[in-house]
Amino acid sequence: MEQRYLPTYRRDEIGLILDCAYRGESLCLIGVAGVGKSNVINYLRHQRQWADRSNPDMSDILFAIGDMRTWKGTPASLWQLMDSALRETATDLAPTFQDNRVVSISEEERGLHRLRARLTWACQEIGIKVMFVLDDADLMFSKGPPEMLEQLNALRSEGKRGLLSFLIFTKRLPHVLGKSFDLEHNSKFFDLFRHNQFALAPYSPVDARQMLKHLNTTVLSPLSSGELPRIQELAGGHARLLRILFDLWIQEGPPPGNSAEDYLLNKPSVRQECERIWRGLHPQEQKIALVVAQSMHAAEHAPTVHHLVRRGLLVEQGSSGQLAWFSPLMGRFLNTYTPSGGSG
Amino acid sequence: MNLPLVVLLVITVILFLVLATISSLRSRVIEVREDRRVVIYRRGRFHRIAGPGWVPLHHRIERIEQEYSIRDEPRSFSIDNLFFHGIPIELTLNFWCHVDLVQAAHGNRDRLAQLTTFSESERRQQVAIKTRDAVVAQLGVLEQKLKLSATASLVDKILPVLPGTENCEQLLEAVADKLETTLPPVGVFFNPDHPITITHIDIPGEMKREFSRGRALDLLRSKAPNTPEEIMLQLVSIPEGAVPPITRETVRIEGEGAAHFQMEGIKEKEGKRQRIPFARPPYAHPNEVSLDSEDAEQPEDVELLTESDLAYLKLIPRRDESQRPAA
Repeated sequence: MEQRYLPTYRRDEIGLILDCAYRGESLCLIGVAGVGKSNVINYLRHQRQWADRSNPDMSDILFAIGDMRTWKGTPASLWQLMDSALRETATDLAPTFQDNRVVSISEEERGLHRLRARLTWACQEIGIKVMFVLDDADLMFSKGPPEMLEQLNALRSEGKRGLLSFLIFTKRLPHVLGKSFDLEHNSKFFDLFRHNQFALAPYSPVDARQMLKHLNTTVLSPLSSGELPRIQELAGGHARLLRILFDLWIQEGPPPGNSAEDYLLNKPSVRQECERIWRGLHPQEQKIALVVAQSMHAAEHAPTVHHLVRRGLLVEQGSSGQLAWFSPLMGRFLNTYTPSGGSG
Repeated sequence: MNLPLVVLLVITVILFLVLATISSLRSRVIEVREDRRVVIYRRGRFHRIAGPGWVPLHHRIERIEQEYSIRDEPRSFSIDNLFFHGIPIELTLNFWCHVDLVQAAHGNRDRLAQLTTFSESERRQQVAIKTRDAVVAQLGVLEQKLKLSATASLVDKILPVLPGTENCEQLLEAVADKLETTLPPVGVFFNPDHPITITHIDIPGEMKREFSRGRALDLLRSKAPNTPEEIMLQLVSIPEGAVPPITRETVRIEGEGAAHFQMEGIKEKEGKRQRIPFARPPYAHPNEVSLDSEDAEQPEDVELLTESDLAYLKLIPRRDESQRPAA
């Protein structure tokens, strides 16, 4: 695991997360599909065992990781998911958690009670800080119910402020997802991370290079070191595209000829990943993305264009500030994309 | 017999027994279940995989890094954001597989050590990725093979991936073949004795509504055969709760399943509302239908992102070298 990640892997992102976890502050990272959210979570999963060696303070933080893709859409399911995440990550803590109190018959109430009791044990009896990591939480905000979200905020009461926080990963802005509940104005849970919403951009060149080196090493280095930069350039630091292109290079060799983008976009895996990135964007982002791809953006599009730059999807090149997509493949995909019929 | 030799022999045996006793006191024995294996690290480095049964561990220098299951069992994987003939679908596949790191390493110790660095959840994630790759690739092959006309219906497009069809069976066989080669590098082996099954298919809500409208239209035609076709189409194509602005006719249908229903229209003209019966079934529905058009909801506009919406998203603050995170 340590060879997979350099010590400077996502340095800024990991540093921000650790700082927030230490202070008991919540944050939301918003990234497109396949940008590498799972890798950040994998890194946090092992954080605690590394933290013992370098920073004793960080060893007092538990990252309880919940995959919201397994959430069944109900509050009871969310409490169970969070309780399981906390239980799995706290197995090496003593004493063993026991909750013998009689609680409500309702499964939802029981689940919430169990979660609350385990948090009290972890935060107040053991004295450890907990950051719940909720991966792919878009549906939680769009589906609600809003009372369930407010319960998440309520978990921080009873002496857990500063000890309990949330790290949420979404593909879109949470308050836009939860517009029907008016989260922006009516949600204390949203207030927890209102001012801590950050863009999770594709990998830096250093991290992308390391990921490719690790992939190459894992399969006993079939690609020469000269081939990896081309893959990196085409994928633009997008984690999933790096992986897909790497596998294609191994299975089929480098793309022939000069039009590598067109050749690769004919591959189902590449095209589907570009479509997946596309589908995860808000309709307004999609619309402006197409306009930018055609180099037809105007001053009125500036706010959304800057938003896409912040997301790391658009990159300003050179002194002229000309815009390009993070990946030439994505740029070519958008150039040829027709919203009703797909690309090509 | 030479006495010094005997004494030496006795001392050697005693020393051996003492050392063996000391060594055993510094070891502990753990019990590993039949369906589990343990990864043992010695002084921080991979040493061996052990189990099942009793496994001795040197107390100070060895520890169990990981315990994993080798049970051959069925697992389900949901794969979303798939596209087939332009239709986004989600499939849930179920197949049998098991973990065998020793077999996957093919006697290469370095490779074995590498495989043991992944946790069970990471391995499961890798299997999910490999499964997705295999399905995406084979869907692409199937799509290329089945060229559909531009006027192909939704059903024609989705039919090849429905379980039980010949194309679907071939698709799953091809996915199985692919998994037999792509899973072993991550330490997992697919069991071909159990065929892959699709346990769930999902399509977007709007597609389901299209199916529903088709069924609703068939039902209306059968129950109210004399109703003009244009009225039928209007009934099933008006979005739920919307008021058609031009004709200002509001239609409500109340019914219990497909047993019976009552259908009326209201036409607004010069501020007056007039009820227009479209069809009269032979039975009468006991309850009156509310015909207040003010109850209708207006369709929602596509949400626009305002500048204040966009302002929430910030760049990750850059850290200087002195602010390295832990680890």
